[in-house]
Amino acid sequence: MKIGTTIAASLFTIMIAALITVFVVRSLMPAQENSYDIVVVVKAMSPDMEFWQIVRAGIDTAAREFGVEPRVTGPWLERDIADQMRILSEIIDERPDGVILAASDYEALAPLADRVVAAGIALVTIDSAVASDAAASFVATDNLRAGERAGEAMAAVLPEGSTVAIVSHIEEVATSIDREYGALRGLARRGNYNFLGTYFSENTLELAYAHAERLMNEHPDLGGIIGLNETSTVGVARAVRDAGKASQVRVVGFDHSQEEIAFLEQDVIQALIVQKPFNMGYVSLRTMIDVLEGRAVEQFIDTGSELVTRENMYDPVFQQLLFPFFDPAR
Amino acid sequence: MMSERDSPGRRRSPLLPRIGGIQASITAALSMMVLITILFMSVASYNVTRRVLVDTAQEYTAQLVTQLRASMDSYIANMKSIAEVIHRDSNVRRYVSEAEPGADVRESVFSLLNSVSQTRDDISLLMVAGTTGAPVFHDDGLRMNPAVTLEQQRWYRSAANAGGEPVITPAQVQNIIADRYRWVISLSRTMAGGVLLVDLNFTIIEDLLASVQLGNRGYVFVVSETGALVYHPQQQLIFSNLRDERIAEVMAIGRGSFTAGYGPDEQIYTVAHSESTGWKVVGVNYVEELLADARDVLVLYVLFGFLCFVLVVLLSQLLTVRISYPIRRLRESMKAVEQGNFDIQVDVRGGAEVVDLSRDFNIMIGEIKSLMRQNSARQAEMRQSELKALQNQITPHFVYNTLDSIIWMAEGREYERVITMTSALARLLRLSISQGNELIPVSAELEHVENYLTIQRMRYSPEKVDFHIEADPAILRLKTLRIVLQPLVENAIYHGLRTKDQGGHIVVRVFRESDTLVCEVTDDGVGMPVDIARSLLNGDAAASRLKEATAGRARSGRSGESSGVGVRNVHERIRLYYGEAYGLSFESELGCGTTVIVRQPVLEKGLEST
Repeated sequence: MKIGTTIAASLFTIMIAALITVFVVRSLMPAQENSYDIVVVVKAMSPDMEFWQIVRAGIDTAAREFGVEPRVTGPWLERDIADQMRILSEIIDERPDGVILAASDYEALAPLADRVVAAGIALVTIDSAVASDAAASFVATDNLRAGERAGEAMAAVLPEGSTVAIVSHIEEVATSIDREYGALRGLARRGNYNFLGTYFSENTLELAYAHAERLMNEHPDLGGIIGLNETSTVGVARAVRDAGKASQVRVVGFDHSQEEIAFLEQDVIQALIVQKPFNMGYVSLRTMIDVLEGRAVEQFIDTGSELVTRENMYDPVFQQLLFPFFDPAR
Repeated sequence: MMSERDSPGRRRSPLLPRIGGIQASITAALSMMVLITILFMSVASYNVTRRVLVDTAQEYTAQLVTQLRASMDSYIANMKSIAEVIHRDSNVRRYVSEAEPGADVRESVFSLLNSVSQTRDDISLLMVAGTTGAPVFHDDGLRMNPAVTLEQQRWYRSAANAGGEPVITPAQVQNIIADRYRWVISLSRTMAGGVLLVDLNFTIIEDLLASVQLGNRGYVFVVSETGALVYHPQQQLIFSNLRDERIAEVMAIGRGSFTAGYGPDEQIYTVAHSESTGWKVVGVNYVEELLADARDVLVLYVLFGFLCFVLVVLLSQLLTVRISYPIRRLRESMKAVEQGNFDIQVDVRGGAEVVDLSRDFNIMIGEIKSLMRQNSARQAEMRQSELKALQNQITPHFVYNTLDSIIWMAEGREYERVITMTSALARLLRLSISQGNELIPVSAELEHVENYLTIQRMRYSPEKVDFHIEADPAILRLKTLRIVLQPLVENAIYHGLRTKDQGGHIVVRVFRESDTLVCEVTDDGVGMPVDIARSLLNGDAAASRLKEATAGRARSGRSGESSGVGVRNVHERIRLYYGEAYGLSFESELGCGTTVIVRQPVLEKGLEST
């Protein structure tokens, strides 16, 4: 054996040892797997929008648990649809790993949602659907189920045969359609009710108030009104209270603003369907990480809703839901 | 001697150290040692580091939760002392006990509550309520929530059941103030038909707990004595069953710490218990996060192990060169010896053992060399003596026979012939007994055979033995082995002519055939079978049978015997002297005679003496 071959053999051995070393060291090093760039586009950034603040709190909790640092952005208010579209298209150009989107419009955001996925970015939608099936998963309250709960809650406080009306927010919005359909189904399941129709508040207190006032005037036998979102519920409740018909007209609503809670305590509102925005935020980020790591996710994930009444509102389980720690107004 | 492993057909890969070779052995041994050491050290140190890190974290967490517990206790103690101050105040007593307290009493209660609340910012609400009068709050701007009554409140019912003792109600939303829903910890106490309430702002506790950092994933939570969550950063997830918390285990252990979970979710729970509230403050650490440093240590060990391995390989290479290079040189020398070169002196420098080995090798080579020299000398001697013996074998038979003839002739008084014969014999003997060279000129050999034939012709008769010698004068000076022709001629006479009744003719021819000196002895006698002729040369068992046959034919056992020996001697001598390529050959035909051919090399000058 020549000296040359001996050296070659040694180098060969050292090389193999180096490879093994690199392999072992890499397997020992903590995996930097979760350094994903994730952007969350919410409907409203304003701190007054408690719902989105709580969604963000849920996202933050998940971010800490999974070791990611998502960016949260969005228009100031929910109605700034054009703003949200502009923000989203800017984000597409940044090519993040994943986008969590709460679409402020069912139709307008659909092409952008397609573009997100076309750009190779993982997409998870939350809260409100878009007219696209591009998203890997849709994390939201099951609005059909929530609507059913509202209908059933109304039926529980209203004798059969009574007259019921619905005040919804915006026509042709997915949440509105689902909740309305669910509410009617919930009512029908419990008995025969005389349904007056659905009226749209266009997300203004004034219009909701006006609808309720007019309905009470035109239909003295009106037994109950179901408000399908916070604004509609508050508008209806105010009208009922102002008309002094709290004992006559039952109100079932959605969400849990402080005013709604006060109405619930005062027995103006009989039941509130409360969504779980914290869970929505938490689950959406967890789902996004599942998508990015190639795990199978469900097309639709229901984050659930709770029926809160005057009796159970101070149960520990619901206190957290109604009065989250993260309430900036507190 | 080539070992099979080195044969070209099974060449090993040049990249791999030879299995069983010195380097492979040294590398394997050293690597094994280093690897075992590193493995042992790294596992041991990882365990030590792990234990130290876990212990440190546990100790730190224990201190932390104890401190948190103490802070919370101090808040509670503070609430209690505030309640005590209010409880002792005479105006408060009057306000709650009197059926219709005056406005001045109410005013002094208010100013007390207000001034107490000014001293601390952690107080959310102070309230004194009598049996009949409206409750007094610390702030005049607060109104009672019209939708609720005090009696509905959990803290109110707890106080009523406690019979005058202060009661702590864990975190809850206080809703007795209109349009205000705050998370508070309530201290309530009944007194003389009324109740007093101290609400601690829970935000303070929450901020305290939420600000605690136990790594990235670690957290702190608080459970009440019934196991209900007072505070948990992920309370909502737990209520929604998206997350579990090990509350049962926390309640079971009471205080101290325990480990739960497995792999990346392995957690250390550290529990502190508050005597004053019955609450437990629990710190949760993730072991994986704690062990980041331990892993760094392990990585360091692996890198260190690699470095050691490289050193081992280099070191073993150095050792190999030092050990195997001299051995290789020694082996090369041995190969040269194998191929017959004994004039080698190995001068190998290296380890003491190798130097000894090479010295012994040199001694051995010297020994072999001298043995070989002795051996060849002895062989030469043996050959010499053998040759002499062979030559000496010829003369006695013939001398006896010739002298016999001379006596015969002397008895017949044929003095002329006696003189001729005797002088021929004398010349013959002189040539035979002359010492010195084995090689003589062809001319001398021819003279010798002529003398012999002369004697033989006289012994028999000129008719019976006629001879003729032919030789090219150019070859008379060439050298031939001496006394080659005489035995052949003798053989021709005894086997070819003597038994032939009418006598015969012998022709001796000497000529050169390129590099070969050829002598032919031809007779026209009875001839002999080829196998007998061949066995004449071999001198084995067949030859002895031949001897008997020849003896029978010759009717003279003695002379027949002698002639066979003579021919064989010539053949063997030539072959001994010149090698297997030379010697005698026969051409014979029964009834027509025999030709014996002698081949010898034509010797160049200087090669003659061997």
